[in-house]
Amino acid sequence: MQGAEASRPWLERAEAAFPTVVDSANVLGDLFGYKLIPNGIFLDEHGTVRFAKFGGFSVANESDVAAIERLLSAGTSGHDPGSGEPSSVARDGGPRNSALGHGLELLRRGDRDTAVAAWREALAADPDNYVIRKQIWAVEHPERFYPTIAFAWQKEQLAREREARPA
Amino acid sequence: MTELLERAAPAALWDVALPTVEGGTLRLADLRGKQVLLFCWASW
Repeated sequence: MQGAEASRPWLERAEAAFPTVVDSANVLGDLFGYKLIPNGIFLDEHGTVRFAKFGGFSVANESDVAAIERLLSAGTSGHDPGSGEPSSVARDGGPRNSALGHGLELLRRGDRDTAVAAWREALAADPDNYVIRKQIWAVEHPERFYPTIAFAWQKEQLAREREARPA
Repeated sequence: MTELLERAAPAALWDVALPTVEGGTLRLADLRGKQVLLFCWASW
């Protein structure tokens, strides 16, 4: 299960009142270069990234919430993005993991085996990419993810894979 | 990995348009000029 269908139960449980999009092609992952999820990225009114946490961002985490609340209440008064210190640095998203989006498109067309093969190749080249690693798991072991996520199994599976192919 | 930053968002971010779960489209350009929290998550 992927996309909007997979996200709906979570959104209903959280009573989410914010806009939610489905990034099947991993556009945001490519732009920001992240290899972990869940992430929080805060942009101010000037389009400046003021906070980014890649992996483990959660509204249940007090320090994450406090960091965002500080930024919200501070606004951008006194912040001049043109002369800030340190200066704003336009940075490309970093390492690309568009193999994720390519595989999801293959999966959507029903070509599960080719999708998994593409992800495995990408993961072999980038073993720290947990977005791709978990995507493989979700397709190959759906019973570990739906309806509930077996986090203990994920830890065991990661240990098994590391043993089979040390980083 | 947490970063407190002051760097411009990738320019291409403002060209991004993604489908919403309700069947519409969200263009990030429409959020320009606002404070935005992007919360990226997956169902796994």
